[in-house]
Amino acid sequence: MKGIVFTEFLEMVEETHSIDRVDSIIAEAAPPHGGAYTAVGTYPAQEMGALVGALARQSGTPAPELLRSFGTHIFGRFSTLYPGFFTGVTDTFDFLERIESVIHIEVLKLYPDAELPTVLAERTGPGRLRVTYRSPRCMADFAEGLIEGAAAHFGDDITIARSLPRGAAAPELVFSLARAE
Amino acid sequence: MAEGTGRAEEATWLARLERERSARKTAERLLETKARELFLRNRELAEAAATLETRVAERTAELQTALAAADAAVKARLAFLAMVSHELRTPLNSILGGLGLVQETRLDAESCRHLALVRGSADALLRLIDDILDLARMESGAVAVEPSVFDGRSLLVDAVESLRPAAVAKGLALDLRCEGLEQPWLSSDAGRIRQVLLNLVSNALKFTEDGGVLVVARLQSQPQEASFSDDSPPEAVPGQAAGQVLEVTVTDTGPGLSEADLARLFQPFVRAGKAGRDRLTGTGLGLAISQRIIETLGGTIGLDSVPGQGTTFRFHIPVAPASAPAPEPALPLQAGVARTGRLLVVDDIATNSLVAAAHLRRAGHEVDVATSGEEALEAAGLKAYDIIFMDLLMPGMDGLEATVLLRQQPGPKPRILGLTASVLGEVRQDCRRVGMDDVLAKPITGPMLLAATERWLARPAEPALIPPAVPASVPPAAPALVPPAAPVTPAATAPPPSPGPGSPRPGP
Repeated sequence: MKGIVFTEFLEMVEETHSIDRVDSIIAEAAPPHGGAYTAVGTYPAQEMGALVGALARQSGTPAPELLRSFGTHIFGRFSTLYPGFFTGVTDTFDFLERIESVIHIEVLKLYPDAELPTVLAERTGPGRLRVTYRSPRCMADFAEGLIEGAAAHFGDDITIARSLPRGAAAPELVFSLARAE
Repeated sequence: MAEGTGRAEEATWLARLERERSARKTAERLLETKARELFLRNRELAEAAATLETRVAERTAELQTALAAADAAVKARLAFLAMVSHELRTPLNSILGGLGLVQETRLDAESCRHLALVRGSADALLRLIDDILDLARMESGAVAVEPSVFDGRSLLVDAVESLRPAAVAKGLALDLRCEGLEQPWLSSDAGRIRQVLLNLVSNALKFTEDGGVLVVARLQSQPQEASFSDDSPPEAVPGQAAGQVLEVTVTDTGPGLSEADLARLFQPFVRAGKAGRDRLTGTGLGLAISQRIIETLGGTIGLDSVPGQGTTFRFHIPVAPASAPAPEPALPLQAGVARTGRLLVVDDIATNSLVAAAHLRRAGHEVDVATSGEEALEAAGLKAYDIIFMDLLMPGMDGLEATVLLRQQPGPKPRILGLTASVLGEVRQDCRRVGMDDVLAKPITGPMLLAATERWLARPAEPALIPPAVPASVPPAAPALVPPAAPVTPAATAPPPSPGPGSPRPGP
């Protein structure tokens, strides 16, 4: 997992909790490098699971909720850090449709070793979008948070329903998005 | 207590500082690694680009070498053709000239018949040589379109009438119909169109035993739908008036063509009928040559044939309408003056000189003979000639060099007419550049010589003839090659458009 996810997570914890909480979850998770994350590095996804687990235990907030909140937070950061990805994008659906065909391609140019999830968006009707998410890391809550962050960024009122497609491989999930009338 | 708390806080901040420092160093290490990777990748790319440029340069050099080799091969082929043309035509010129002289003597009937047979064979040999050389030139891409303004109706009439004796001899009708040629002036390569017409019409006459041949020419402002599946009017040619197409059909009442004949008709050396059992003569080059000419002119050719009923050939050639050319200034004929003159024939082949001189002397001219450029200069220094017939290719001083020196001499300027045995047409400009007035293509016949003599004697002398621009180096006189259908001046002695010995191009 790219280091920017860790650095942004720790910064979010520092903002929403405290710097002491950052110290304590690092101490609990005990990564081999002592929590010295850098945005340009790459780290095992399990370390993120350990950090989130530690924060859940210490704050009493369920891990899925923490991940969703982090997804929403990091979308806002992305829009600040990578404005180029938002040029010409008009709404949430438009953005989600570009993840696979534009954004992931650009990410791979910078980080050829990045392990990216597959995000397939398909219009199923007026105001409706079906997003299929596949990732061996099973960060569906984080993905849902990202979608919510996108909706907040574009000011779209969207409801999200999550489902497991029949016969799908385990790490696959479907988000059914409906724009409010 | 407070001191203990302070130490604990300090330790916490030191730990955070150490964590951040460690992160920074990690980032720096990663960035260094990345930068090194980029450097190496860039170096690889630069090396690949350099290699690529080297390969491109090598390949370009190879291609240039190959192109030069191909170009040299084409030039060598053309030079060979020129040499072959000259070597074949020179003796043939002597044969035909000698035959002409003998035919003009008193002969008994049997000798006349024998001589006619020999003459027919010599003519056939000449046509064969011309056809092979013509086709070879076309396949070498050495044939350039020579557009001129011409009277389309006259061209058609002349071509058809030149073949009337052949039609009459076989008891065949030969008719020409012109449509849309009320304003007959056109721009295209008249010589080549005439050649195609003669090929098609003489072919039609050759294969037809009963009935006749009908030639229909139409100048179409809009191409009409052709009836042939493989023949459609050509697209408009850039630079020409849109939709101006000369369509010519040649219809005969001959035996027609089978499917097998149709499939291979335009291939060189292929004739209709069964090989070896056909009493008809010919090389089978006429249609192949015609097709290539028409394609060179941007046109199309096709045919319809019904076995037992006849064949119709049809070709379309894009032409541009033209205005009638301004008439040449009338030449004041020297009325009352006997049209005989002092002539010099320069040729290293004694038979050629002998034949030419004999023809000219019979017409009453005073004729001297020289066998080289040097002798020609010496003779011209002793006597003022009206016309010098100058062979181009001679050992020692050739005809071009001799002409340059003659033009530099003071005094009256004789007319100088080049004689050449070749058919490739590059030397015409050389002749003009060194100051020749005209070029006659061998085989030189008596009528050709006399017509040229009469024409040039009729022109007033040009005492103040401007010396020609002399090239820094006289071009090589090697195979002097002038197509007879394209003389130096439009009014010059163009050979009659018949497939006879005076016209090397046509031939069925």
